[in-house]
Amino acid sequence: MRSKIIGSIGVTILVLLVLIAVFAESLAPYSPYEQVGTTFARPSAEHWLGTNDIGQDIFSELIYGTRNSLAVGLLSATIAMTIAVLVGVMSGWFGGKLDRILMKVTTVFLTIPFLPVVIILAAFSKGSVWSMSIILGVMSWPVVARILRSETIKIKGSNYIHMIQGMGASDFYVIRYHVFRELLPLIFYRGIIRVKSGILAESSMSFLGLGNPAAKSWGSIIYYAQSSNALLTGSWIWWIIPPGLCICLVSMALMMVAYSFEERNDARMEDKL
Amino acid sequence: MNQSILEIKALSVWYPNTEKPVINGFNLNLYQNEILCLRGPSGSGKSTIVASIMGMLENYDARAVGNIFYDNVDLLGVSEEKMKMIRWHEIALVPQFSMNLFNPVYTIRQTLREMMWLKNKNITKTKLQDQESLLMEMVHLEKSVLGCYAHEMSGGMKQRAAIALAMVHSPKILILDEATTGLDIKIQADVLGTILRLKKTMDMTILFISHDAELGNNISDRMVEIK
Amino acid sequence: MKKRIGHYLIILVIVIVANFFIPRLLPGSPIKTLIGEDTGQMTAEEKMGILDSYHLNDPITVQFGYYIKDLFSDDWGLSFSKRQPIKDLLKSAAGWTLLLSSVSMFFSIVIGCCLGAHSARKRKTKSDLNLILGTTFLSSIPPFWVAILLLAVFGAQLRWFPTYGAYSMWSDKQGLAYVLDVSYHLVLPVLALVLTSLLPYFTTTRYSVLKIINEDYIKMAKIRGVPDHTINVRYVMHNAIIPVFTMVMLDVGYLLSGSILIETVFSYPGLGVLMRDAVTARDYPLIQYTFLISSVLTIIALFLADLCYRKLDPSLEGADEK
Repeated sequence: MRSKIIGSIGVTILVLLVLIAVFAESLAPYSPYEQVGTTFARPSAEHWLGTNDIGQDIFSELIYGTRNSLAVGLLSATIAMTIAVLVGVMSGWFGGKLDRILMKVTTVFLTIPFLPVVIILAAFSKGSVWSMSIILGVMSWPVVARILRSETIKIKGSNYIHMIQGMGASDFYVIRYHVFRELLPLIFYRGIIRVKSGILAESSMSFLGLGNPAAKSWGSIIYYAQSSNALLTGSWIWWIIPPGLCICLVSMALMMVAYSFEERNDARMEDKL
Repeated sequence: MNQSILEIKALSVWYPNTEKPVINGFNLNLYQNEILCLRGPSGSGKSTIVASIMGMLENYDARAVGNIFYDNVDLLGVSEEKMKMIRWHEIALVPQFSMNLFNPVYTIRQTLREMMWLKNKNITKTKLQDQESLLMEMVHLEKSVLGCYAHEMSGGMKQRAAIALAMVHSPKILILDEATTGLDIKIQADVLGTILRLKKTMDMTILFISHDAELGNNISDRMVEIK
Repeated sequence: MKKRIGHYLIILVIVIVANFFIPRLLPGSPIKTLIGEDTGQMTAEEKMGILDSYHLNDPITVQFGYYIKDLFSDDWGLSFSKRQPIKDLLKSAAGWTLLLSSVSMFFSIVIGCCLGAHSARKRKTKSDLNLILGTTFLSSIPPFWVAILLLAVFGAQLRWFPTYGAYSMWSDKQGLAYVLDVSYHLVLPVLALVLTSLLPYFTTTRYSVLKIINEDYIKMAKIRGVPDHTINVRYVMHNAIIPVFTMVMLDVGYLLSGSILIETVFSYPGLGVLMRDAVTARDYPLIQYTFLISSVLTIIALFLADLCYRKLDPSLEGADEK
């Protein structure tokens, strides 16, 4: 019961944020790309969260930033999960040489330091939503692939799969209609966690100044605030806290959904924690 | 006939959430220096009797009525302090084969030495070495097995190591709870041989618990059936 | 063991090769990538000079030869944005990063494991639930943001802790005073890192302790009269720590990542700040070598973690040979 409430709170927050992202144009009081006030203005009736170093409305920036975060989070998670499912299921199902090669590649990816690689890639490819998502997606599939592989091996060993195979079902059929269906809750759960990590990673990238300078992102708002010494002027209270809270809100909401989902599928999930 | 060493009187045990007791008014006398086989089908409460003697009922949240007398002490009513002095020191247990008795990160040597050290904190290193080789000899295991972890040993080896562990304090009573079930016939015979030899040389009383009547007949002096 | 060393060597080679090819395969002219955007002001001759000094006019195989040769030579050239030898820059930066990340990792593991074990023992009580929610909440906060808030509150406002660097500049502290000074500067960065990286250790320990306290060997140890203290430490914790170490192995790769972000906030003179400065200044040789060093450090850390793991888990001993 409790997990149901937590789950619905999470879903509600996420739906709201998606709506904000979709209708950003109509919701934001100003265009976040134009100078609409004096620079470094304090919060006021016109500018709820004040203005930034070049006179853009911070509240509008915040609303537009939802787009970037959600887009990169979802895209990078989709990319990561696609690779992870392909590698994990193929490796676990077919075994043998293919398994050994795929697992070697997975281990190499696991060993490579995450952020340095992402930074160097982002530095060489100016960070659009797509390039950011691809970089993050490609760098974050190995852990999930490993989990899916061991799950696939377990499913493959179960009796009912042997029975279906005995009746002449093809590999593709069994994977598509049985293995995949059994893996689905796990894939969904891991996917949510990946969206959360993607959003955190995107904000980190933008915070390091590696994002697309033209795009509005919660991380980059903090980056510009930080480089304008918001900490010393006291403007961090309306300039740095709100975007950070937004990031917390999304990732908290995602964790809530993941938590309630996990509680409902309890016995199966706890093994993978 | 020998003197009675362990006496179970009107023992009844209930598990939580059940009306009917698993064991209802069970009586048993164990005489000194005998091998008594307690036989019964699985589910008849043999392991519950073992748990009652060893004071393990708490682990299963079970409730017991009756008496178990050992050395004029009622094991069911005794304080935990006193029980600690009896358990394993006077009455030791070789648990079921399926139970993993050994800490996976300890070698057999570490497990044995920990027990010896617990009994005597001032024990010298040579004494430890002597005792552990003695134990190994007792159960017919190579000395090299001392350096093994549980996962490196076969079933028969593990079972004999379990006997060695039960023998650390030279107990008066040894309880073998399905100690050979699940083992290969040849290894079974070997382990049973070890037990018989121990009984002769160490002057011990053995409570042998099994579901296998034939095996019980072969090894025991006396057999008690439970339903 | 030989196989493990081989494995890490292969990864090292992959990283070295990737470090050479990534900048050359990505779009953009080499001269632009090398010296930034303002190439327009240079004469053709100057451009050729730069290309020559980096051997960029040679075929790629020859370039690779020079790259390897430089790598093993004592001179990694000068950073043009910092005007200092790259090797010196990296040496001091790597030290600070190692200090920051190892101290934080140590505390995350210790605190995470203790909380996890505590939570497991109090399963289904209020304090268990609070810990689960608390750690989950902490893990949803971006680490750099926590760092900024800590800095703003305890550094800038309350002035309890320094806001900048790894040690007091312009002071000539020696011995113990220096150690204290460095530790003082470490408090906030470490706190930020530890707070945001507790979750994996917490959940893994909690779950594995829950599983282990129901194992037969724990019950039997109690029956055998092994004292509670020994059971807790040498039976429960030792076994519970093994899966936690699997977690550590996965986390070492992300270890430097966290520290890079935190360093940026506190202007901590480590690899993270160096890398960010290099990226902002488009100082590509410096980026490349910083990347290389952080990768090598990660691989070494992984290797060490692997060694410890093998010490902790006897069932892995000699698992390679089988």
